[in-house]
Parts: sequence; C-alpha cells; structure tokens
Amino acid sequence: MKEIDITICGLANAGKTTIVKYLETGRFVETQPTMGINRGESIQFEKLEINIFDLGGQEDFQVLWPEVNEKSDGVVFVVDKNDYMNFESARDTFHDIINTQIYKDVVVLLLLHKSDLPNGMERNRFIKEFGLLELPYKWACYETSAKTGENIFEGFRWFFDQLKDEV
Amino acid sequence: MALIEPGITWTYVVLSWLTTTFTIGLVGALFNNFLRKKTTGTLILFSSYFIIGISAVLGALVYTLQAIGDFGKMPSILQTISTLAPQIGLLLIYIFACRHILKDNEVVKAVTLMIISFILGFVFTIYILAVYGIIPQTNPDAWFTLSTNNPTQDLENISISILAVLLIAPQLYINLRIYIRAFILSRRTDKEIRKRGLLLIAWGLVIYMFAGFIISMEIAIPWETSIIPLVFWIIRKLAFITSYVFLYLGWIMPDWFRRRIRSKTWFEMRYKEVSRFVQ
Repeated sequence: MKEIDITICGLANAGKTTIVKYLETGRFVETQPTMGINRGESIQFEKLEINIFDLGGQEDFQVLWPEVNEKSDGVVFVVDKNDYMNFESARDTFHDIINTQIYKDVVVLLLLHKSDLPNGMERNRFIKEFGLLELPYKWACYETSAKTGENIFEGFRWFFDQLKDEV
Repeated sequence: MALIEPGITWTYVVLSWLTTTFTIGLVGALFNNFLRKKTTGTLILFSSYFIIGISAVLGALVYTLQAIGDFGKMPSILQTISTLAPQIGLLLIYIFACRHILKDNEVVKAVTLMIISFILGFVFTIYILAVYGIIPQTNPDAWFTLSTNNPTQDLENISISILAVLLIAPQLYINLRIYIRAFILSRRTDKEIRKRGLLLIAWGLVIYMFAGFIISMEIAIPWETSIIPLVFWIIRKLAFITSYVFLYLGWIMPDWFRRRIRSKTWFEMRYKEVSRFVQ
C-alpha cells in the first residue's frame, strides 16, 4: 500500500483540528489548541493510505511547518471566514507556504471555515482577495462547517481524488 | 538440566531451535523498524530484543551440545549467559518505558537503574563463580555451589532460590509498574489504536510474568519425571514468545497491524457509500 502525507495548516483557532476530528468521527468535537504537530487518523483507500498532519497554528509553532510541508503531497489551508481582522495575516501565511514550502505538483485545498456563522466573507470575494486566481497549483475552495458538516465530505472527496490521481 | 534424559534431549533441541527461530524473526523485525525510523527509542527496543535473541540462541546451543556429546564446562557457561542476558534487556525495557509510559524523573530513573544494576551485578558474579563450583565431585576446590534439590554438606550452599528471588524482584517491580501504567493509560485514551496498543503491552507483560512464574515452579519443585518439566518448559517457551509478540505489536504498532485493528473513519465509510451509489 502506498502512503502519502498531507498537512492541515492555517492560523490559530481557524478550526483545523475540528475538521480532522470531523473526518474521523463525522461529528463536531470540541478541541484544545494544537501544541506543535498532531498526527490525525489516517484515511485509507484500496491502495493508498493518507497520513494527516494537523499543524499547530500559533506563531511559535509555524517554524515547524516548512519541514512537514516540504514532504507533503497535499496541503489543506483553513481560514476562519468570519475573522476579518486576521485576513491579511492568513493570506500572507498561505502565500508563504505556497512560495517557499511546497512543490508545484502539490494539491491545495482551501477551506473557508465556520460557514455556520453569519456575516462571513463570501466565497467569490475570498477567492479574489486571497489571490487564488493566479495560483499555479491544482486547487479548490469550499465553504465548510464542522458544526453542520457542510461541504466537509465534498471538499475532502475532491482533494483525496486528486491525490489518488496523482499517485 | 540435570533431569533431562538422553531420550528427550533431542526434543528440547528441536523445540528450542524452533522457538529461537521465531525470536530471531522478531529481532529482525525490530531491526528493520530501527533502520526505518532511526530513533533512540527504536534502537533501545531493538537492543533489548537482540539480547533476548542472543539468549535464545545460546539456550538452544546448550541443548544441542548436550545432545551431541560431552563439551565440559561449555554448556554451563553458555547456560549461565543465556539465563542472565535477558536481565540486561530488562534495564533497556525500563529505559524505553520511561520515554513512553512511565513518568519517572531523572533522579528516580538513575536510582532505579543503579539499584537494579547492583542486584544484577551481584547475582551475575555468583552465577559466574558457580560455573566453576557447581559440581563439587569434579572440582575439589569449589567453595560453594548453587543447589536446589541436592544440597552439598561439604560446601557453603548458596540457594539458587535466593538468587532467583533477587532476579525476579526487579523484573516484577519494573514489569508490574509498566503493566499498571499501560492499563491506566488505556482506560484514559480515546484513541482506539492507542488503547489497543497499551492493552497489548499490559497483557504481554502479564503473560511474561506468568512465564516467569513457570520458571520458578520448574526450579523449585523436585520433579521425579522428565515429562512434566518438558511440558512446563514448552508452556513457558510459548508464553514467552506470545509475550514478545504482544509487546512487539504494542510498542511498535507496525503499519500492517495498525491497518488491521483500526476502525474505519467517518470519511472512509461515507466515501465507500457514495462510490457504491455512483457505480
């Protein structure tokens, strides 16, 4: 069985770990801030095993990201769609990953997370302002919620199908 | 060893090489694991199993030499090393457990290792000296002997039972602590794979201690026949191998085993459902 690694990145409190837990359990689970790097439950397909590395979003832990991202075959970047204050910081962090930490054949999934809350940023506006249209990667963007389960399956299904095709 | 009759010596030889082959297979698997991960933890665990492997080979060699012919003190020397070597493995297991399960601080760790090393050093010395004094009939200079069933009045008699207790005490102390801690942690964790791994370690240690208990019976009871010790010997070997396998699976959690025991994630189940529907 072939094994590949993916990473889940994003600023602190974006909802990365709740997404990983949702993939495992299919329900919303309260989580604690991730200290360092957590290895989530692997996802297995017939001939492919996908290891999930959930990276702590706090600034102190971001120094650990490059080493993990460099070995990764896919990156999921999670953005809290209601956190307008940190939008620019999230964009800079994302572009830093794209420009310095991953290779061109890596698949990228962006999750505009916490869509169950009102007044979040629109997906189209996010794509434009986050600079995704010029992205030289295979990418997709979904609005998701770990509370309602919205689009979590659809987003990761697309993501994992791309990875299966790559392999 | 004195109870082994020539007729069944070859039974011991064949069975001991069979179990040794299996043990060596586990040592190989741990070496492979070390090569793959190259971490201190995997090196410590491999080293402890390597010592157990050497002990198994020497043990099988002792039976083989006895079956083939008279090799003087050689079987006694090999038997001594084979008996004592796994005790060093215990120290390594303790160091390994301190990294993952036990929470001993550096002082407790150092004191524990010092005391156990002292006990083992004392017992080893007695054993090694005993190699040259164990058969007083053939060694007039012997000043003590190790004896259970046939004490010698002419010599200072150091009971093997006392030495056995000295060897069993550190084993019980460390293995019981790892067992209790693994069991408690298995109840606390919500990760199914970790829970099963910890339970394997806990049960592996129970079986290991059960095998140790059988050795005590083998030594302590003056058996009149060779068959009963052989049955006990087979049960003991099987118990040791089962415990090594349990501990290997629990400590290492090899990928093939992890895949086998894990339950499916929500995503996998949903993906399967959807794929079936699409087809």
